Amino acid sequence: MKPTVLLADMNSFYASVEVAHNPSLQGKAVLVCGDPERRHGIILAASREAKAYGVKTAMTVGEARAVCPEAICVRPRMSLYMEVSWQIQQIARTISPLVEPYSVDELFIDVRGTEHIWGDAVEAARRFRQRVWDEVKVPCSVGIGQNKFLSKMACDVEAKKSASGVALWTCDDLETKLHPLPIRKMFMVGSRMERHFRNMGLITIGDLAHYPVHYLIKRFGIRGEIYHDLAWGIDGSPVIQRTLEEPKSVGHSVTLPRDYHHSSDIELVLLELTDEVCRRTRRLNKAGRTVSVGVRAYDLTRGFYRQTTLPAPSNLSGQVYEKVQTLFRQHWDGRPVRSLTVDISGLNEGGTLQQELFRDMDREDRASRVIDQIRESFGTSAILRGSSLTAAGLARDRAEKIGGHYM
Amino acid sequence: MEFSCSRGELLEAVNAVSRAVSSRATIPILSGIYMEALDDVLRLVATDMELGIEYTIPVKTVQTGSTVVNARIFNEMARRLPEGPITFYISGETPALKVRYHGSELTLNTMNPQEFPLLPAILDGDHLILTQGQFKEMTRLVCFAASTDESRPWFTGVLWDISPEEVRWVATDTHRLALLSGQATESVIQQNRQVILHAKTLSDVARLLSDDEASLQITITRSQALLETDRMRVILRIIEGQYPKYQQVIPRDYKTRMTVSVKALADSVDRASLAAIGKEGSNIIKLSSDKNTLTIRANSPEVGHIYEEVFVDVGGDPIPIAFNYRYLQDALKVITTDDVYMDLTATLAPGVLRPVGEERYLYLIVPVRTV
Repeated sequence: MKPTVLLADMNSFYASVEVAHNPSLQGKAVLVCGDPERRHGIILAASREAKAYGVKTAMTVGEARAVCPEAICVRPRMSLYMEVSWQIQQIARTISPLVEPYSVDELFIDVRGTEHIWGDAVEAARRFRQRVWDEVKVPCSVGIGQNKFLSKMACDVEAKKSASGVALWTCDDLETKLHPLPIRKMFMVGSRMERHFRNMGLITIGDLAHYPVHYLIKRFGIRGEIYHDLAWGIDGSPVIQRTLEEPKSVGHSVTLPRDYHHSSDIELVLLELTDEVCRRTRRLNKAGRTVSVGVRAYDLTRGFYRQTTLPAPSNLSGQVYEKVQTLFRQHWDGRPVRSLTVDISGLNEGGTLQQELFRDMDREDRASRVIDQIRESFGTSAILRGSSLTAAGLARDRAEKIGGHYM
Repeated sequence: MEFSCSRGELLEAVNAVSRAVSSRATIPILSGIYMEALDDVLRLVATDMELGIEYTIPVKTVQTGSTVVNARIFNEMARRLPEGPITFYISGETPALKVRYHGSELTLNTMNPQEFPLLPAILDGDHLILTQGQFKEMTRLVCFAASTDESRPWFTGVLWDISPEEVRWVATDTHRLALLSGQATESVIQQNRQVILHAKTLSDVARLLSDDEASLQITITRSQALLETDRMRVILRIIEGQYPKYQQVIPRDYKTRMTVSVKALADSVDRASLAAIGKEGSNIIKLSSDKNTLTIRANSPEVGHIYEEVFVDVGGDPIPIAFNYRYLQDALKVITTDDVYMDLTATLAPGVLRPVGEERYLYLIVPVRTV
């Protein structure tokens, strides 16, 4: 099988975009960082020059300043980055129609069948890099493999460090390049899985590859087999044009500006998240039956993610929040909370609405839609719950941001 | 302690009290069954502190005494014992319970009976006497309409709305509501009162009643209710909370009345529910009437369309309405009359089923708004 899958990763994306839009920053150590007042006071991106001093993503502003005193701090402009990300996607679509955006600064391109236009995959990658540089002045690295996993690994491990910015891995590279790597470098392995594997004595990806697969299946179920396959460079997931796909769930999560200790404060934020999730569900003209709540404790490892089912599909805050609250009260162990998630899934068409006794659902539905319209016309903060104005509320603050950062 | 009894009666008693044993006992002693041999009777007790069941069977007692055995093991044992007399025996020195049958012997570990929380004696309170048949009918017709969602505990119960003249039993999960009224054989109550008792527990108790003619004595205190037959005592906690005013949601009159055969309607709804099969299945069926036919439609992207006709007598203008088929099916399963009235007032107002010739019962279904 020929390697045809490209994974393009924009180098220091936010910082590169800032430099591209402000030539005076050229060649300087640039830090894109959040608001030092709140907990967003961390480095979101650092330019290559700043990284040379030892600045790493997710450092606090203070730490970064200490290692690189002359760095220039820039506030993030999320809507600009989205715009550039969109432009890059459009460029990718001129290379091949099979483009799957993976995150704001990464995308998969499958160039299968375009050989007669571009020649081989490496040539396609070169052209893509060149066009991105010419049009949006953002440098990028491209990994190439016969599937998504290998292209991602090739990009992370080799392309980012090579001068050409392009790396191609074939099956022959598995044992020499992939297997010696520590397991935490493996795509899809997070800190939790790394701990599992380490406890089993698996330190490198090669260790995992040679571990008997039936033990992995016994311990992790079907996922065990997937990890085994990945360690051998086998990944069946195709590159799909995700922009066309119907959403399967609507969710929102937030990192709190400080640890929340009181259940009343936490429940207020859950209510705000529920409002937002329901609003987006209504905008899609959907209604969902499954409600999930996620809570992460102050140490970011403990917490829970639990779900429950509604008697009928809903997109109304009142009904959904009842379940959110019940889940939270059942599962919260009282530890200070750092981040919260609310999610609705099992989406159906939203037109039908089960009526209830003792409560006028039709009226709640109409009220919600009026509120949606007000927000649509005058902004999200034009109408808020009274409780959102208390110290614990985040809705007003969130209304002015995208992805937690100022536009 | 030493007594002997028949396997059949022992199994009946163990099965009865086992319903009160919690599967996740918070304190170890609650995973047990308390047994006390008195003169000529054996008393078995189990409780999870919400619900307590006490069951008495005749035995031949040689020596009185008490013990606590693990409920699950004792239940499994009782099932496997052979027919015939069984002797239970605890000797003075060890607390282990010896079980003897034919020539064989089984020895069970026991727990300290003094740790077991026995059921309180309940004497004062409001009194009601129902026949066991009446109680069973009530659980059959009403309990299924209660909710299983613990976030609003009062909806998991059956409301007993008690006045000197009659008792009304109501259960709802806010999507449908069942109401049955009846007269107690005897009632001594201070004033009208409303209590909520857990629907699932009431159904469980009904299954333990065997004699429809015999009476069931009910005593209700401030926080507990006691249900008593000659062999059994059940104490359950009254669910706290204010039950909503159910009278206000029951439509007083109707615009359209359809008279329909229960069996024909049940069969049609059953077929229409095929549309609910599959991932994208919807539980919604649409009803509309025209002269003497009621049409039921359902569709799903995976299954296809279903169109059903049922002969009915229609009085009034046709009102199209959509229901979750389950709520209709549940009621049609328990109604025993041949025909039922379906009374409608508006597309978004609850529909009411009333068995023809049976004034005591009604069942309300809340519709689904469709596009």
